[in-house]
Amino acid sequence: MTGLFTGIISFLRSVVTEISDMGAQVGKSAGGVSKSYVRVLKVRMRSRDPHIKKGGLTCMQLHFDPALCMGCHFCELACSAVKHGVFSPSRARISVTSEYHIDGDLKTEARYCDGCHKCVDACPSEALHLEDGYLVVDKDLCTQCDICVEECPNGVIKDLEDYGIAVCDSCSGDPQCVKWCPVGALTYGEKAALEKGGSMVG
Amino acid sequence: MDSYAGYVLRVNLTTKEVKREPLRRDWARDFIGGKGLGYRYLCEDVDPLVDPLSPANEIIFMTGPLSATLVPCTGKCEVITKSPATGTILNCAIGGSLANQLKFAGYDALIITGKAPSPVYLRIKDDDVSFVDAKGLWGKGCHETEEAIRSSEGPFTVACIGPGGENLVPMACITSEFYRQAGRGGVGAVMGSKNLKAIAVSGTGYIGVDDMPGFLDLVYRKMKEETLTDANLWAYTDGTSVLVEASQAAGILPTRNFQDGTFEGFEGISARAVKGARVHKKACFGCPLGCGNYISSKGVFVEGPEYETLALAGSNCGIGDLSAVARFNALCDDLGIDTISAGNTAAFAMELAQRGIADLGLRFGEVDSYLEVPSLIAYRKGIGEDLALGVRHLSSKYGGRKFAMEVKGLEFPGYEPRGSWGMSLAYATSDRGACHMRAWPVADEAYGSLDPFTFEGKAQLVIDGQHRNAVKFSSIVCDFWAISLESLAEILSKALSREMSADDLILTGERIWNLGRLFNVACGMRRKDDTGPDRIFEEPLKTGSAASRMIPREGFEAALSEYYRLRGWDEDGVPTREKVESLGLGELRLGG
Repeated sequence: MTGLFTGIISFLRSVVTEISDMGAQVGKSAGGVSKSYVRVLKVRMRSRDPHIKKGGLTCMQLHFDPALCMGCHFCELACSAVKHGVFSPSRARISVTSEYHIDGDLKTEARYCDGCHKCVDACPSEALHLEDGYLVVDKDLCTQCDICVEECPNGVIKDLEDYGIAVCDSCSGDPQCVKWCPVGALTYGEKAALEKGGSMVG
Repeated sequence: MDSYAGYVLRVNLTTKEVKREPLRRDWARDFIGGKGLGYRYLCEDVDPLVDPLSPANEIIFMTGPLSATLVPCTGKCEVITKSPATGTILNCAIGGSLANQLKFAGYDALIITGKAPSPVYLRIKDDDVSFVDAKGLWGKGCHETEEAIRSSEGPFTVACIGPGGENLVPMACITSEFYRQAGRGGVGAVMGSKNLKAIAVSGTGYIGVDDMPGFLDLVYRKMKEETLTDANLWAYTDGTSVLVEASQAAGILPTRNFQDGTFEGFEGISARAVKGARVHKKACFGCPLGCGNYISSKGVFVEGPEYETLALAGSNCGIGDLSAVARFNALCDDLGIDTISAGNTAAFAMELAQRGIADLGLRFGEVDSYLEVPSLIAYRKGIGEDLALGVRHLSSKYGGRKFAMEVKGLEFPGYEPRGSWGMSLAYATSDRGACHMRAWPVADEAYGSLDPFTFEGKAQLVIDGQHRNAVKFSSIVCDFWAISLESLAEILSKALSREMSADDLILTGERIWNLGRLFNVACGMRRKDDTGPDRIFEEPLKTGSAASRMIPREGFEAALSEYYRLRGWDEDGVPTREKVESLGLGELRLGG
């Protein structure tokens, strides 16, 4: 059983690698092609147990496809609007870079929570924890020591002056950045199962 | 709370004075923002007779109340000044993220006057405003300038000029994010005249509305039902290049300096060609349509070419090779000159040679000499000294007035008016000279179902378009979202917490349009300036759907009279006192 799963997962991983390679090399076709691949991927993923858990944690998470992103920053605006009631990318828990460089490169990157949860492990006051699989901060316990800010490998966690520690809780399973992304560059799914698939089912 | 930032930043480059003052709410109510509010500030501060390249002229970067929100297609920033190309009032939009950063930094507008003693760039990080020495950047192209500023300042939005602006070329543009331009009317030269190489802005603040959940619900619904629809998605699937095929079919694709309306080599510069070279889609901040096509063609990278460039620097120069147009485009963007005016100017010089009137070394369809044009213009080298001053200057000096395709000194955009007669009226009456961004009757005529070869109903069509776009560019919503005024009013009402109707917006559009006209009248503009080149009245087109068509001069003049009458202007194109007062402009005193 394990072997079969590993086989499927390594196949899926190869598909994902193929997509991202295409995105890097020929974004023009990836724009059209990767969408359909992602659809296929989703269908395949849905056919598996929809409640894959690891230590009780859900593996649902954000996924970003730079080949599709065109730099509209709707994700940042939506995040700050929903979490803080204002439009303010500096308060968003996701940030996108989409900028031209003189060598012809169009740098397209996103910083977002990929669910590594190093912040949870690092939090000395246990203020950061998971509820139903979503990252939350217990403001009563948080001392704003900023260790989580430093530990976050993606630079997503912020200590906002008028708010405190701001983390991505995936909007409790209905991420607004994904909802507003007009081109499907941001998706929400079980990519963790792909990236950490071996160990998860191991 | 409403979606204005609430403050205006005033910068005097002569005195280095920096002042943060509250937004004039009374003016914001009457003129909204963007184009309209920029006009209002300019009219207050600047003498209409000012020399556009003198320190007393202002350059205003104006956002709108919808900038820096989730309302779709709100990424543009309006640049307002008196134009060195036309001597008229001028607003010109630039995409990218400048408007958003200004709002997040806390400003609805940045108003710059004076002249720095030596080259500087203006650095704005929220409340922290400073003048940074730019002597080392002077002479550099826009791309290198932007990269250099970003590498020293971090992720700032940069809007800068290249050699074109530095050398006060009247067709100099402002470039931001490499491939976004405030292209028309010489805004870049105004920056150059102030020794202002760039502005760099980064904002960490916020913009709010009273009822955020309600606002988000409304905007999301509008986006799904009215933005991401077939009427607008051409911007994403193709971009503006889709108009090449449309214009060719309608017989209005400018060809060899508007000698004809179809181009035998159109396929080489078509949407299909652009799509074939596309490597990525690119949007402005706050736009789900993402019209930008980042292409790679024979070693040339450029976001574009847009339709206007494909038409004026492509077919109009007899060039049907995408990589050549892409290179011309990339050069213009980097050197900081407008592709529309540069393309027209090259084409005019080519026709001078074709007719044996003068030989400036340019020929229709010859790529090598054509690719020298951007640099010659930006540096005003050799024949570039003449080319830099545009078609009107060339025709005065060398001849060819009859086929000098400009109005008020601004060169034609890419829609041959003989195949869409309403466009001739749109060009003639535009506040900044020949322009497709005020009224665009071609959508209803050559591309639509209205008879393109009559003036019947066209005066009103042009007026309606001018009001609609005045309001859109004040809000600021991009041209490419064909939003209804009802929906715009609904969104503005929610963003500003006061009820507005489509009728209110039309009246506001009319007020803005008349304000611009009052400025231009004070500059000396009259009916004599509201016209077009003889070619459109005297020479029939040769091929295509509009073959044998030309515009009857008396029909045009009658339509112009009708336009004035419908507007409440006199026969010479001056707004009547009754009209001015009815729009609440009776107390207006033009500045200076």
